[in-house]
Amino acid sequence: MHTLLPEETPTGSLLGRVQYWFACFFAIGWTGVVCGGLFHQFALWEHPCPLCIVQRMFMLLAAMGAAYIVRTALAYGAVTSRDYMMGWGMSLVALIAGSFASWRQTMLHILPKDKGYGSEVLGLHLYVWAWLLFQASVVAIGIALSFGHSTTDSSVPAARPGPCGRPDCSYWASWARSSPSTWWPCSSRRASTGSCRMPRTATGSSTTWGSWNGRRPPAPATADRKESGMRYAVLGTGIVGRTVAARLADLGHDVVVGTRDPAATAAREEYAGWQAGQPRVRLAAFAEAAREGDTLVNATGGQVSIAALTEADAAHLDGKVLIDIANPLDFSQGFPPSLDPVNTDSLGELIQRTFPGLRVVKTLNTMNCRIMVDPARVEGEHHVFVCGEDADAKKAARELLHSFGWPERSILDLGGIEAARGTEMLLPVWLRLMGTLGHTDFNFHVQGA
Amino acid sequence: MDTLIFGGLLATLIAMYRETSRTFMLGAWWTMLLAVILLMAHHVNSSLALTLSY
Repeated sequence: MHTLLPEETPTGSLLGRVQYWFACFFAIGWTGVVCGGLFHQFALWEHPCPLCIVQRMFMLLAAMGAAYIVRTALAYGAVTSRDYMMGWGMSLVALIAGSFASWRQTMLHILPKDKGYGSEVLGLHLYVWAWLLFQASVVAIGIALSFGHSTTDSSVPAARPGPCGRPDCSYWASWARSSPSTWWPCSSRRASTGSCRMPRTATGSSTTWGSWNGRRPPAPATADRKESGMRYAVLGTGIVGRTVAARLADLGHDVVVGTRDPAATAAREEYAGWQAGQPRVRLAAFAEAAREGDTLVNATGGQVSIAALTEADAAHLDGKVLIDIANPLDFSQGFPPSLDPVNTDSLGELIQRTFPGLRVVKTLNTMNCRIMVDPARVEGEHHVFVCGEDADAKKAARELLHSFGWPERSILDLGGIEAARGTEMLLPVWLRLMGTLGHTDFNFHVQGA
Repeated sequence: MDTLIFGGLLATLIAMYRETSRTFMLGAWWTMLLAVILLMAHHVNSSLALTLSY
């Protein structure tokens, strides 16, 4: 194993999409085989035996593995290695089980003078064809996986599925929205935890979401904006808080910005100018904002974060996710700032200790705020770190990152909140890089050996 | 039983489309696979009675 990370910048090349198109072919192909069986049943009136039915079920289960890959690509514009493995793994298991069923049926009729069950197609009975196809599919998946290093770019054509075939077709999305969310376990879970994957955006032809070609991540379609509907409380009215709040609002979320003194903040010239362009974002006191938000974003200065959260009454916000993007920069000794706490403690840990009811996730603190919400500003592969104690909270944070345009492969989970010491201590390096490069449009990239 | 399983397969497919969690999706898929295997075992109720020597 050379590396767990992509060795090259994914470009969504033709060769790199081979496995994606193979998954499409695989899912459609097996669906066609089942339809062929239905044709024999309902057009030629050849009633299937029980084993024939079982084989059809295995065929559909195998197709579902490939369909998972296709669905992931359509939904996110990117398919990670784990998605490919999961999809093909499901297909392989179903193929082998189906192969056994068709083998057994073939063996039941293999003795001389046995005419077999049903009619023949091209000289072979349907169950023999099924056996051959099951076996051939296992080999085909094996070949696809063996060339996976060059046939699995994570960038694939991203388009919403629909009968018209256009990326912006909303037929299926409308249908999906028409179902009560309470029917679906994930939907109810999403509603309660805020871990909903953001709706896929309508991007136009062959645009990839999260691809690294310098394009700005597209804004959601209008219908999707109304659909997403999470409530975020962004604590802090500086450039970081405003940038994140604007992006969240752009994604269709209800956003309230928390500050110590709303009247004083509203009177600030730069905030008033920004607010004029963000009419949907409300301004409120810390406590009110924190109460209203399903998820909190700490964008306050690191030295005042505890005070701000105390004012927000965060001790009584048990169970809420707090995405901590702040850094404990201490400017008391001038520039460049030092960190406090540092080494044996971190701001992330301090917040988690002080407010144990909150589910703190440290992320996005190692880059400029414009890159936080628009990773395509930096070309090529680069990474965002995530750490925290609560798995569900980290999952919610990852999905927020996805909605900002961060592909799954660019998110590195460093473990528990103790890892915040490490990510916060990157700030001194970041500050010096800024001085050397003369700008802030850069980010860290972790390259495996 | 067949109808129930086909219904379950359809529900699993819809769950996939609705982008349910990976855990739920995998759980549904494996449940359906297990159900189909049990159905197959139910239908396999005799030996092949082959007298082949290979």
